[in-house]
Amino acid sequence: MSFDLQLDNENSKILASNISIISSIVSECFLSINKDSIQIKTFDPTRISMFDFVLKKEAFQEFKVDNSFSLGLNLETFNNMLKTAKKDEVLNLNFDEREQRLRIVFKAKNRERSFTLKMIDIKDDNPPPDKVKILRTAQFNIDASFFQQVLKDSMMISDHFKIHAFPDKVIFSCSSFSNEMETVVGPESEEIETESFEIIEESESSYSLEFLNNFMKGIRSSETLTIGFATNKPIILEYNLENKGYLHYMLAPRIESVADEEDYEYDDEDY
Amino acid sequence: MKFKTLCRTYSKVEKISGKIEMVEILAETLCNANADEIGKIVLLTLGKIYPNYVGIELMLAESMTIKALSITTGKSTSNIKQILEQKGDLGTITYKLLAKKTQTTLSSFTGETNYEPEILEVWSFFDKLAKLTGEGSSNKKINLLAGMLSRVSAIEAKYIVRIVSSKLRLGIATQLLLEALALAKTGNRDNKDILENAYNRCSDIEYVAETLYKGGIDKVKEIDIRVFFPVKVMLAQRLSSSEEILEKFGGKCAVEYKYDGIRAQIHVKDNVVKIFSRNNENITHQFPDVQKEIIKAAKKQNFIVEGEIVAYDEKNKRILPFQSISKRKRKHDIEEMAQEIPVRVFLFDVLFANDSSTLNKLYLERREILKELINETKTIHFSHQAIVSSVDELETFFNSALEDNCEGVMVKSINHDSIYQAGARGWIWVKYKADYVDKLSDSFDLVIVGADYGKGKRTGKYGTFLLACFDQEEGNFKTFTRVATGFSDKDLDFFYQELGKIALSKKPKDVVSEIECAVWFEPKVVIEVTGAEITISQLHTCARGWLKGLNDGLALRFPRFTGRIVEDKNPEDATTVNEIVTIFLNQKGES
Repeated sequence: MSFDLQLDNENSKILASNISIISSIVSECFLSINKDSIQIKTFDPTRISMFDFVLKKEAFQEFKVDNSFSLGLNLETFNNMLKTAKKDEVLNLNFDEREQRLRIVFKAKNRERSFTLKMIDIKDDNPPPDKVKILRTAQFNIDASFFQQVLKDSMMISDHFKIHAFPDKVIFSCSSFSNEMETVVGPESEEIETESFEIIEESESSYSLEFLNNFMKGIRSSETLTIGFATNKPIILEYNLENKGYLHYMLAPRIESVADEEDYEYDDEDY
Repeated sequence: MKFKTLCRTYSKVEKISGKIEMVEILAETLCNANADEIGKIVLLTLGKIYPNYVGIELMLAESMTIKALSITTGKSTSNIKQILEQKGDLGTITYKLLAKKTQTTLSSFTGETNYEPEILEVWSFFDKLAKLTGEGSSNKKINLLAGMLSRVSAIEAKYIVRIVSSKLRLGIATQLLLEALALAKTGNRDNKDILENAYNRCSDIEYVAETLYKGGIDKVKEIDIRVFFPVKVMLAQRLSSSEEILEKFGGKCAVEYKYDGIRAQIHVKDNVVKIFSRNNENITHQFPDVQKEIIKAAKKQNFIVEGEIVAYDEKNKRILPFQSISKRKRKHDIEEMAQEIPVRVFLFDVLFANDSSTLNKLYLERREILKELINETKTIHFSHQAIVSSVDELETFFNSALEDNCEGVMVKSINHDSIYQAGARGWIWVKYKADYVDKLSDSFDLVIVGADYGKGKRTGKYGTFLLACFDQEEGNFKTFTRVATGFSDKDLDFFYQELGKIALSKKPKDVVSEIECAVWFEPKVVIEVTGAEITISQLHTCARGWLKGLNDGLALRFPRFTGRIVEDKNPEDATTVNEIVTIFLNQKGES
């Protein structure tokens, strides 16, 4: 098992920014390689959210892979190494099974810098399923900068917000004991792509702001995202890398009163 | 068995305080356990992951547990800290937060069914958590814990958090657990004695429980001591005059110096040495010098001997007091310290030799076996010993012990009863210490269980401390005195800081007190206290109901802190109600 990959400067930045987003939530995970792409599919440690990242071979200048396999990566360290890229450098990633180390080489004219990253042993007794189906009864494309603003506004008030989608508008709202926030946006607005707006039925669900914000922090504000969800079901944020691949982020909803009533019998300490 | 089943039992046990009922409830659950899991169940029930001798403790910093909880519940760490300041117990907070948890997991939408781990799965999780070390391990521990907490239910999470913070505190002592095991597996509580005997010999409750479940009570009877597995130490009663002592031993007995050092059980096999403390903790790494010297002194292999390690002043050829040897208790710079504070080892007993247990051999024979095992060297010696048969002889030996910087003497039976009783405090051994001679100043090792704030110079610190002794019968702590004298400013600062870490908002369940305190503590810190006399008290709970025709308890008058924190004793090793009653009765006899 070995591979030899090369990315030009622009595409190495795409890889770096995606790894950076994932590493802000997941510190270690598997990187899978097959003959068409590299891929990271992982739950966060709490299994509340999940990433699905694919970078296709089209993004690479060179893509030599002899087999399909997975490597255990310390994502934080990998991210720190990728971040050192200079404007004039191309990125080479090599792996040789015998050494169990990933070599990260930055090449410029008459200059070469390299890092090696030792593989780690990750035990996942419950890996994410191959295919994750997210039910969407509401879906639309939205400006990243606008969505980032909504999150920022919401976080002033609470640690979670509600998305309520109607056939003619979407309402983001949250409230605390004394304060409230509400943002209404329609399909004809500049912030939403009109033709993407598709509401099959009225849908309403709440999500943690911290997880969404951690994800959105890494998305460039000039980008467009697809948001899809259904009532009391997970939300999916899709960030498409044109023909080169995608980064999908799925987050479980917050649902009021899921308390296990049965256990209260045994444990009703009151204070 | 599901971990959840065990948690529900814990929850029930926590709500009751009657010992009989606690045993019954526990036994009901234990009888459904299988032989593969019972060992882990008993460890977890005592709040442990491994037996003491393993020397690994899982104790996650509170801040790490809070971080994990924050990830799981979506609440900020500052928010959780705030609630913690109000409510005190992290386990209860975990329960509350998770019972009301609104955050679902994505895995529950991707087809993972309800996660109800087996006890062995949860134990493996603790094991993994305890063994994570090195760079970045803190984050890994936090993530691992958060991952577990977000998958299990509130009640499981509550006890997981308590166990990882070493604060299970169910009020289940080893004795009670042994009784529950006896009831669960044999249907007869009285078989506890057999289990206790086995436990005293192998110090490994996991092993006792597994043996019971795999081979039955008969196999438990066969459990014997093994090299590298610590044996519960034999304990001594105390008396305060030579006359009493000679009378007790029928006019003739052995006396040995009682050294003021660290009691050590030294195990040797194939030139590998392990040293255990009187609490059966592995202290081998603290004494590389003793390891080398014992190998040099050994004439044979495969044995267990017991002795006292003392600090030694090479220049003046004198034994140094306990304060010096206590400096050897450390994790770093061990070799340097070994140079700086050289030691002598005085061996006084042998527990295993010539491939078999010597516990049932009589004292004088054991001393002979000890001599056959060991050559005296510069460092390794046999304890000073003599056979005495008169008050004069005993007093002369006692005085020379004091001149040689010892605490007093150990008096030992040389009769047909003089076997080594692991874990027992009987009249086969009696300690006779200098401070007993002054009849008004018996010294007691008591546990600090509560405090009130001081006034004047002591404003903002603890001024008065509520002290308790250990009730062996009930496995709890009974109040005995309140002490405010004998503390230096430095002591007060130290206690304020250290006790603050184990402060509780309400009285711990295993402390029996009718006195209210501003602050309660987890029973943990043992201090040495002297006093004028023991009196009958309506206020204190020590020995309440023990004295014929009297419902009152006993208290110590004019207590004074000696300045010594007894670090080598667990709270359960504090002076017991039994001992106090004995001292009280003796005192009464004299006056």
